[in-house]
Amino acid sequence: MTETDLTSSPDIQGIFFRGYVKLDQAAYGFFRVTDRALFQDWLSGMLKEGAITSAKDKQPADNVVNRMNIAFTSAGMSTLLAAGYIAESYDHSFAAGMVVPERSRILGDTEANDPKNWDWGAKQDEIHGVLMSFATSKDIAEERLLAALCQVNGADCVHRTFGHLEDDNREPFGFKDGVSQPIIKGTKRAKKVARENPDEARVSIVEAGELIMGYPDGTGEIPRSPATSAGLDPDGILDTHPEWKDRRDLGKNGSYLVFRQLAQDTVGFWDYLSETASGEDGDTALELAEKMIGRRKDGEAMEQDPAKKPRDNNSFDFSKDRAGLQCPIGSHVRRSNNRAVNIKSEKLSLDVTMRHRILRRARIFDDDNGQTGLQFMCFNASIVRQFEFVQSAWCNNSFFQGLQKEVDPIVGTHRPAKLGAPEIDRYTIPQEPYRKVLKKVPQFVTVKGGAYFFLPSLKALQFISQTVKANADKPAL
Amino acid sequence: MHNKFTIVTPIQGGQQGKVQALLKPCPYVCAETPDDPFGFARIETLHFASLSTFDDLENGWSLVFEHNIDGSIEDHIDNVLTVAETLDGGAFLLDLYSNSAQFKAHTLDGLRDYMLAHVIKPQAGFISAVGMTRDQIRLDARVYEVVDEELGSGAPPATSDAAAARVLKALDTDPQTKGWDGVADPGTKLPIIPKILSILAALFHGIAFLVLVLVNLVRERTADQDSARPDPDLRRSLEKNEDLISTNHMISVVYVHTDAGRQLAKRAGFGLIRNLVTLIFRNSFLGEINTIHFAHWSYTKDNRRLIFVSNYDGSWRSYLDDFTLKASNGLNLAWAHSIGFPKTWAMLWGGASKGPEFIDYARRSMVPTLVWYHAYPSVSVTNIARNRKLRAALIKSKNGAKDTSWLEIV
Repeated sequence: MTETDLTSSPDIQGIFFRGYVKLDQAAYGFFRVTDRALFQDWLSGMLKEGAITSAKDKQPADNVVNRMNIAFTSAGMSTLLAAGYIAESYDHSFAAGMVVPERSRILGDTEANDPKNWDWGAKQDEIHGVLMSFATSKDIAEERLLAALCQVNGADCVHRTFGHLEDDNREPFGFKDGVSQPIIKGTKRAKKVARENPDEARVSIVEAGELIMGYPDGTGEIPRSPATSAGLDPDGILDTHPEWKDRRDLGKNGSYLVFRQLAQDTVGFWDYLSETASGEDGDTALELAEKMIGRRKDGEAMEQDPAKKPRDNNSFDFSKDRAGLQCPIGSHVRRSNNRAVNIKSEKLSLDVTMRHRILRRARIFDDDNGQTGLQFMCFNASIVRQFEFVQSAWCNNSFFQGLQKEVDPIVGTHRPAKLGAPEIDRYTIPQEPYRKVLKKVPQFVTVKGGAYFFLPSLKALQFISQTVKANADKPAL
Repeated sequence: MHNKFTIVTPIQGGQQGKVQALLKPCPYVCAETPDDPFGFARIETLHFASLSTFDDLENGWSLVFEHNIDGSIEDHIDNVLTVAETLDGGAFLLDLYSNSAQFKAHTLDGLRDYMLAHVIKPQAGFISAVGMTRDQIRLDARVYEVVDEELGSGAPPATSDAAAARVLKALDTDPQTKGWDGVADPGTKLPIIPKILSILAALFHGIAFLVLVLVNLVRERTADQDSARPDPDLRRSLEKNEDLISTNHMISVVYVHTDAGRQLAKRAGFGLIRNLVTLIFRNSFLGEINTIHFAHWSYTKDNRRLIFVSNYDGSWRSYLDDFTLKASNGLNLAWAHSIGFPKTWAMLWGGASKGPEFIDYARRSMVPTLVWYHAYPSVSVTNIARNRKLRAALIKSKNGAKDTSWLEIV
């Protein structure tokens, strides 16, 4: 199945495969459905116009100025599908939502990151979905978003935010972002990487089912997929569900989308580093920053084979740097994707790591309050097993690989001493003869909003847009 | 010597709510907190403890009191009761157990007998810090803290020797590491006679296991698998109490098939695990799993239920992933022939390797931990192993060794 190149699938929404780099401006409209029937009519109209872009629509040509995609929260799916929303068939973190207390703790959304301090998303059920508009200019992105959302469409726009891409894909601290991404097996890109750089292929290629539903994942099984009532699908838009034969598969060619607004204290970050670094060779602010991120500012890997040409930034696996002398064990890059050094066995380590990969699609925001940061977006077939796992078992785990009293210096949550556990706000840089420890490291990144979404396939969108009518014709079973 | 055990006591009909209410106000992580009615932090023999309740279709509710300790079970229960007497004359414990069936003598002496009568020793289990008492773990942790503070303050020492000298001086002067080099580490080596006995026992159980696997193969393959998703309310009540600190606790109680063939096969499986753990896993880690402090499996007295308790580092999800990816064969040995467990082959394959089904099964089988005590929440399994090595190396250094390679593990 994965031998078909999914990257041009007319059923997968475009944002999944494309960063839309030519459409470097984005507007995101978070909405709440107020009239289910009206909203479904609107969605149906959008689909007929071809306004929701699929992966088949290649990277925009010069005359294309706008692309749109849409995703829904569990509250949105439940509102739109009513009896056709089968909560148990969804990833349970998606069904619960990002801001219930237990998810907040798993994600590290406590202390400075507590949802009570968020700009949006803190109220459970407030947001039903997000319409994403990508364009060549901010004005067009906004105009198209508003044109779509301000129609009589049975939904209120709850919050809007804008994003953009910097040249060379730099994030606000100035580092090149999105360097390492999982590559879906069977795609042209995967074949090229496998042919030209087997080392990179080994740490990058994943089965389609790791990121998108309906295809085998790393274990060879079809990942769990949202189901809906067959009675709501009289025209047979959807396939039979792989697990429950009397239900329909709403998930195929869809994925879970995690959206987090992460404010970055760029001034505080560089001030801290300047004050902390001695300025001597090997200990400048930039070198310290690189030790925290776990990559050079231009995206190059810290672990480099000097003989390798051209310089390579993605085929390493940390196995030559287990002690973290080049790339610290607790650095952001190493915590979020620790490749072949999870445990002693390199093969098993990699197997473990590859079960927790996420596909990222981040943009930068600058808001009216002077805040800047990342609109972090990622796709995964299971939020619990992938995004939340990376966040809790690796980034926010103060015991990660033998460390103590510290979390990811970039996306971790610093915590005061409590319940017999110590204060967590350090950062360790392994070096010889013994490690350097930075104490009382400030919180440089804070969460300012977020929600879990389901990005349906085009077919699933078509299904969603007709459930009121189907229900009227033939009640749900 | 360590011991790990549970005390499983029946709760009088209708009294489970009262028991749960009594335990509810207790702090979830009790280390060093004054409002702990058990006085856990004062019990010098205690590493981890927990209390939970579970329901049984035939027997009603039970209270499970888990203990992971130094020394003998009898001495430890005496310690528990002595501390209770000092705290409130034993009133809280007596009040708690007054809800238990067949507990007639409402005195601490009576409670001692009652607890001892309900002790269940595990079929198999794992302890990471082999041979280390609670106090050694704490001392080693403090030694590390002193070294860490010394190397992290003031101007860095010019040479490794200067660093070593500074560290040794600090250890000798810190009041909490007084006599730090005098506490002997019992080591992890298994003496020869227990070793031979374990090898023989492993062989015996291994052969019995092979025969019993064949005998039960048809029943194993035709048993029903329960693929239901965990109840959302149960899952929420479990997640609510997880990740409060970076170490967690879980308790799972499952029904097992009670026919003689499968019961015997499970006994042989546990015998194999017990002896292999004794022989092989003596250096902090369970193979590639480096996060388990104490874990054990026990049967209830009627052999119908299997209780699994574990104290582990990291999130529940990563713990279960460890099982799935790194130890599914061992998990199958323990959990195969449990009712509803994902289908296994020869009690070794399938089962726990089926990620989502196994994870759902484990979640469904869990009950909320009502009270949990952890004697050293600031250190992980890996930290304890490192601290142990560090103190040993520092003792050598103090005794004149020139090797300062211990600096690398700080």
